[in-house]
Amino acid sequence: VDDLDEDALWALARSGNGAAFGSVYDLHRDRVYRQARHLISSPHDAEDVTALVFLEAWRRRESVRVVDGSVIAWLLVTTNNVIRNLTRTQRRYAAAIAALPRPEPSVSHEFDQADERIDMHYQSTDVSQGWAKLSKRDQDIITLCILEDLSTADAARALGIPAGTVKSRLSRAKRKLSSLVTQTSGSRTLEGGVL
Amino acid sequence: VSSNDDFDPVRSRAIRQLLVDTADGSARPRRRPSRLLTIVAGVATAIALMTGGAAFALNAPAFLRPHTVFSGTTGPTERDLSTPQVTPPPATAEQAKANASLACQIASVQLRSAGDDEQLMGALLYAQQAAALDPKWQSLATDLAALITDPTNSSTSSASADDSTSQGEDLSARCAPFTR
Repeated sequence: VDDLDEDALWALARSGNGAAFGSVYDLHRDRVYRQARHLISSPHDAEDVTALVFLEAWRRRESVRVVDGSVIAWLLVTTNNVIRNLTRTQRRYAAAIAALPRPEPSVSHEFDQADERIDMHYQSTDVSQGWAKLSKRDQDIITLCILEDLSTADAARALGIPAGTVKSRLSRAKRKLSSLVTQTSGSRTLEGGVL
Repeated sequence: VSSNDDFDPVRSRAIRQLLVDTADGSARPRRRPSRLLTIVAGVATAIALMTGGAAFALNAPAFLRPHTVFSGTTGPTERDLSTPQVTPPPATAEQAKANASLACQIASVQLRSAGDDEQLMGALLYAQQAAALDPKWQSLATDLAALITDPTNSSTSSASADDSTSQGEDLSARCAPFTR
């Protein structure tokens, strides 16, 4: 399993090889987790989302789209979907998630990071609120093309749309997100004078 | 992502193991399904006779009414099985056995009827709670997890004829302690 490329690894995993599926998890865990952390404030919730994404990958293994020999694009789009449908997805895997060990509290570490978090809070809140108002289509385009820096061609294959459509949607999505962030920060300034 | 956001290594290992077990558990050989209902019905009947619950054998939905489940912290409590809940694990081997028995009953009902993923997840939860206290129930939990996670294994999906029999045999074997 260690010597296989991802394409072969996924094929083996799909056939019911647990070690291969574990290796796919090793390959992409961090990127899925990072994407979840972009959208969810709690690191522990993001860990649960990561687990749910891979469980979904197993459940829907016959329809997972492999792009350029990798399943990462599918996993990232699924991360967005899982977060959007978090309650429903969690219910599906409630027993499995409940069986995972609970996170250890790390209070001192939280304090160490507090200042940095406060500084970043308002900015990330604006982006998060803007993000939440984007359509699923726009979220997926921004995830693949901007957050994950996929090429237009790869994003097009991952989403099953023409490359030209990716470009036009990306341009629209960026404009929309920018506008939403500006609106959010503007309204907060007017309401509370925070900025 | 700051260092504070690193994936908890303990949880990561647990998730990885869950995925590996899930994939491995779905890869066992399977045969025709027609025996599934027979086997599961046999298990259900045996359980009904063991527990004196003739109503179960004659009227499976009766088992979806509230039953006594061991919670470990508050002793036996009344729970509505139609809404699977996360409960603390049982505290004794007997309570673990009771939870495992309950898991078998729910699974039997669901596999005999139209089938309901949430009910099966409830069964899985009880089995996992039992396994947490007594490892001998681990295989029961694994089989139930395979039933839920792999849609081709579900009696509610269009599983191939070969899929269900081995599940029935698996469940039958796992639930055997309740039939002796």
